[in-house]
Amino acid sequence: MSLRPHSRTVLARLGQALGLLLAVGTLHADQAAFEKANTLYKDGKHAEAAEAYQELSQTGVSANLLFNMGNAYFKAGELGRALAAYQRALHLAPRHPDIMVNLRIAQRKALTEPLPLSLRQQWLRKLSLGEWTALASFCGTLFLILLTVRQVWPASGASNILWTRLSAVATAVATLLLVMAVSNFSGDQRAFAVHDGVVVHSNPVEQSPELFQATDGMEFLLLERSGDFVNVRSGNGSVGWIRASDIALTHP
Amino acid sequence: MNRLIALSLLFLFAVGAHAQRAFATLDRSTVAVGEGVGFSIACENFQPSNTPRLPFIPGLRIAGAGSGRSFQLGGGQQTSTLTYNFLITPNKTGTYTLPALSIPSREGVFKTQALKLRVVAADSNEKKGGISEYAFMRLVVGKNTAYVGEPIPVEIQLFLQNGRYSPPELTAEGFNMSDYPEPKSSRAQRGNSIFQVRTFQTAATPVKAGQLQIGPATMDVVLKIRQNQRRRSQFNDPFEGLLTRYQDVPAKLEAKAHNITVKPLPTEGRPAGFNGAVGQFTMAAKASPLEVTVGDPVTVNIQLSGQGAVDSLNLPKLEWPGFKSYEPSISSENADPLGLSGTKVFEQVIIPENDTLTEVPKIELAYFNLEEEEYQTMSQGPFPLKVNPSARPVSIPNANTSQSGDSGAEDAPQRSDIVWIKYDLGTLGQATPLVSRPTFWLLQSIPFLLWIGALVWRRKSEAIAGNPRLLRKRQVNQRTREGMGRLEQLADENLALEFYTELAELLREQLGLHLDIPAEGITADVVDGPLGQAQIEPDTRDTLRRLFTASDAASYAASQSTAELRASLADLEQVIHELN
Repeated sequence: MSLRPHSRTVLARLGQALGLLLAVGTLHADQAAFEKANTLYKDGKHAEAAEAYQELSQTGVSANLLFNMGNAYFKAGELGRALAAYQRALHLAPRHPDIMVNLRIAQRKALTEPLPLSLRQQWLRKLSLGEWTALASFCGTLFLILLTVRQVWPASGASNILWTRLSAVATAVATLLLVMAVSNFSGDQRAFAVHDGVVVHSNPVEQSPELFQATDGMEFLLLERSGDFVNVRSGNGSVGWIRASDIALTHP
Repeated sequence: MNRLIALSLLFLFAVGAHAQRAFATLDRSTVAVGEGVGFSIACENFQPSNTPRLPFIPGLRIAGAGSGRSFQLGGGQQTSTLTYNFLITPNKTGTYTLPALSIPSREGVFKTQALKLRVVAADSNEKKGGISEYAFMRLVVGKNTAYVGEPIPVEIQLFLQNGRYSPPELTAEGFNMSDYPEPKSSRAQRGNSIFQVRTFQTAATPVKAGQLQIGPATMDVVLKIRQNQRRRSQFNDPFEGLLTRYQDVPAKLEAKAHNITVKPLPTEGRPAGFNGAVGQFTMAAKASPLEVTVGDPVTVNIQLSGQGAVDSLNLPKLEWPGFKSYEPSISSENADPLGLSGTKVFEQVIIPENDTLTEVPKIELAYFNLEEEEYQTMSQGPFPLKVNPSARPVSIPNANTSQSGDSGAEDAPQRSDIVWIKYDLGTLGQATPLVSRPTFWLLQSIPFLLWIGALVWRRKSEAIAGNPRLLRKRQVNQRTREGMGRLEQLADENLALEFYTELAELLREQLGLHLDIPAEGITADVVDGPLGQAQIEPDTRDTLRRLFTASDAASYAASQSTAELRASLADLEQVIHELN
């Protein structure tokens, strides 16, 4: 069965309208869920608010959503989960002053020292990974456009070799920084103990000897995963295994 | 390259922000009569106006041993050190003071510190002859009298000409011994023999009063002794000394024990909070923040510095009513390798449990001062504290207050409560980073593909421009496509004259291309000429001849039917096909 061109156009328009409605509807639903969680927070139902924010984060994440989630966990007394949420928010908005303030307050309250960052890590975290990506993408696109213009209109002003070279250097630098930022992002995954008395084992089995116990909010560097356990390193260099359910991750 | 050198020089000068100082060092602080000990004066980052000299000291023979300069680049600093060396040989027992020296330079006068040199009589086991010609050891104890808990510096000196050694074993009942740090190395001259000296330092802290003994100290060594010194071959062996030059001789060395009188700490005047600290100490403390909400942490930082067993210093437990205390985090830094002086820092977190608290209470530590030989108590605080109730109303800012001026990161130490939640959800994005998404790379490939396309197009254009035959072929093909359309139209309109004029044009273009000659002036004669005969098939030549003839005829009598024109057009198409 074949449709007439007019019918096809009508169907396409209907499809577009439906898509738009769905998108608007989803946005509206997300905003409604966010406001509902905010109301729970304002009413002092912090644990319920945290759960609502957590549920919403399955749809997608934003710096504000993670910030509110961190606040809810903080007020509910779950410092480990609060720290993980603030760190995630900071990954998206690294220069957000409110996130930094709340993170520091949570760190102070957790009574544990955050893992130190190297100078390179501190520098790379001035921009989010998305911003580094956009910077490298912009430089790369500009460079390729200039190369294309040189091919198509060799006599045009845009084919000036200086601009091409400058954009090439900018692309190389931005790409290098992006690679470093990606490496830092993927190789520096943090984990936080989510309650007091989290047992750090010597091996990834429950029966293995206990090395020490972590307090709520204690920060670890994630090394690897093995079944239900994750291999972590603490700030003082101790390496051990923790049950995955006992930690909150910065890259869930 | 020149730029690189210039940059390196600039860097060297840039890092040249250095400290100037002079200091004196002794190889060992205790030596025996007649035994040389090295003394050095180091001038760091300055040039003395004249060579520094030690004054005459009765009982010591002082001889210059040259000078040397060294450079060190590290920690962002460049250090140039000029060292003047001396050999001091004592000839009388006693304790000598090597005075502080003032060293003038263009930058000013630098002063070294005074040093003490203790000269003892050589032990009986050090006397010349036997194994002590090759090795001996000495036990040096810093004090003969001490209090319980007072660390006593102890040195074990091993003098060895050539050989190996095991760590020393020291008997010291009633003492706590610290670990041996890495032994210090120096050289000593005794008679005509040069000894390598290894100095093992430790600290002995008496744990009980009475007459105690430190020592004896023993060491297992393996001496390397020249065989020909012990047993010379009776034959004149030319290879002697080349193949079997040294022999390993194991030996056990021993140094005599020292008696120590250990006095108990006085009971009179002992403060209630005394927990065994012995030495001379100072205390510094601070608490922050000093304005908090109930339940918020206050960090109390206490720093103890001084002379004594710093590592074993302990604070009384800071358990005050109204505060919840956590285990303190402790760090210590020793100023000397034996831990006899240094700094210990306690960082204690306390949490006020109610808002009636007005101060962090006074911190006190009692210790026994060895110089004054009496108990003393040092204290810091109290620190005024403001505790706000936890139910304090929270000021709810307007929506989107994330950039509010009072929420900067610098304010964090002063804030006691977290910044309020946000009301704007923002754009929800995927948790996966942009750089890991396939759509990003798909979009990113568009400019790349555009560039590749442009590159291919440019190369192709250049290839055509550089090939006149190819260019002509493209032009002729273009002309032919246009001409054929026109011929169709002329045939339909039965305009024979214009039709054949156009047809002849196209024929000339095609023949010119095929024979690689200019198109202008090509006639039927060219077809039958040598070039045409060589490159055109006979059938095609016939058709060409026919078409040229028809074209010539049309210029005289241009009256042909549309069908005839169509036939000529078909012939032309066939010719073009065959020529191509």
